[in-house]
Amino acid sequence: MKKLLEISLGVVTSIGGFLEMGEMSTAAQAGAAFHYQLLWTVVLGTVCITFLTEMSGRFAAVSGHTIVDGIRDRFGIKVLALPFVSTAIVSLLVLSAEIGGVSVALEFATGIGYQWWALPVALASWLFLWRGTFGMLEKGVSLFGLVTLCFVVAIIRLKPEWTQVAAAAVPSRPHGQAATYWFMAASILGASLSPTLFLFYSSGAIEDGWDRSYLGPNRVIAALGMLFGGVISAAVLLISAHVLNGRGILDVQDFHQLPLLLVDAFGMWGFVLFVASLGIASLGAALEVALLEAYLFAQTFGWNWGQDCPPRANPGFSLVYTCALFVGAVPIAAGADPLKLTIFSMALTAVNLPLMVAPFIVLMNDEHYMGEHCNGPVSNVAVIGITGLAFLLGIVTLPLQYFGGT
Amino acid sequence: MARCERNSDCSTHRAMKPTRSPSLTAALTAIALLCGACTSSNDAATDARIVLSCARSASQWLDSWLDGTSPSSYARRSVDSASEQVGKIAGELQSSEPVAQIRGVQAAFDAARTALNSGDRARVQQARSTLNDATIRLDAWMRAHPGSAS
Repeated sequence: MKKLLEISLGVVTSIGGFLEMGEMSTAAQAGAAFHYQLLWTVVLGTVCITFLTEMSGRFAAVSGHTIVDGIRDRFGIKVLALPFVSTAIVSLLVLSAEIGGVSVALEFATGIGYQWWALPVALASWLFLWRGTFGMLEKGVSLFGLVTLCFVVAIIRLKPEWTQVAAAAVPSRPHGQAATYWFMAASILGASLSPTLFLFYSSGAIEDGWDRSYLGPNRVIAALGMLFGGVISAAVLLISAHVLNGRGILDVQDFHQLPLLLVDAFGMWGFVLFVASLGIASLGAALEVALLEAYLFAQTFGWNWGQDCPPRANPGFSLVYTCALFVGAVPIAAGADPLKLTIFSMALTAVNLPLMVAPFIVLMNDEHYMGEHCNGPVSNVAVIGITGLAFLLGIVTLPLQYFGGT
Repeated sequence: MARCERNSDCSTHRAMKPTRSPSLTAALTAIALLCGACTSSNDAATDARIVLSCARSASQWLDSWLDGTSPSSYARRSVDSASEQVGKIAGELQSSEPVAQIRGVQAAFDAARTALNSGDRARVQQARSTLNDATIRLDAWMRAHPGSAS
């Protein structure tokens, strides 16, 4: 039971991967432009990321390695170099987008432009990481992140046509604007299937001291955590279909349009709840991605790492998240549009995914690391499917960004 | 040495390329024109759809300002931001686009900004009504033009 209570790792991972600026923006855009029709992408993304997360937890529990550590150990630094560089760059862009998300929430709350909030947000995040422990991050983000359940309450209050919702969970072809439709499908999948998510989860499992006794709880934690994120993402899409598409607002080009989502369901409180949800989810994601940068560098170069140790015990690790947070804040402070930056970083995330997943598949089938817990046929098919999907996303997303994206 | 041979092969290959036939040239030109026309028509539809979405969002912001369901600074900043976007589109209008309708929305946005800055409830209500009228005209244009349905 105590182990199952570590669901907070699943929830915090899910908040960082699903409920951040990227997922909220792409789901809201999809609902506005295509009503319920793109719901299947959220369902597919949730299923895929649940498999990947379960595998990363299983790998950590059985082998005692994180994924990055395992790739370095199995293939050497030369093979790890490309995924390391690309993931570090893409994660930095995602970190900027998340700092943008918190800054936008603060602009909504105070009326002071988001640019002015970027550096204070970076400073506050840094203080949290510098002074806090991994447990504080897990429990704090999980607890406050529950505010995002307001999206689920909102969609229930808006009374959607549930038969139409169920029909939209099955993939379908667009009735028009095919290029935009597939671009949005790719963006939602890209936002869901972020390597940040499963790399963070495997590092978190090591931080929490998981061993083989966690194999059962890992399944439950990964499934419930990702389901939490998936349900809320689906709720954002459905609300957007009701509120924005229902009023003929078919394009979400400006982040100022997003708070309208909850006003119908909750009136004045809708605005407050949206601001709180965006701020907390993006802050959780910013903390997660900053830590991931530090994990990535430390595990690649063999430094000491661990959020529970004081910074002086692992100076390289602490220096990386410090630099990442402040470098990540620069584009937002310079006035970059958080929504555009988010969409761009989601597209790059999709391109980057296969670089990390391909060696991970090999590790999951290596008996030296996994013993009798190697991937079974179902897991292998799922991972190969995900990799194929990610490759397709990589090929399709960026050209569509220019020729078909809105 | 191998590189030189490969290079010379390449140039030989280039030299031996058949000259483009008139029919191929005509077909390529037709495709290019078609693509250009499609892009232009898609751009017009996309621009009109974006302006329409901005205008409808602005109606919501003005409503929320009037109802007090959101802070006034949010409504002002949102209208400013959307107005800037509509202004950009209006500044690059082409003949295929609904010039008068988009300029009408742009003017309604200017009125909304002024009204919000004044903080006068009656002026905001008036601006909302002007914006609604401009939105209806643009929506009518989009419905009248196949391929740009709202």
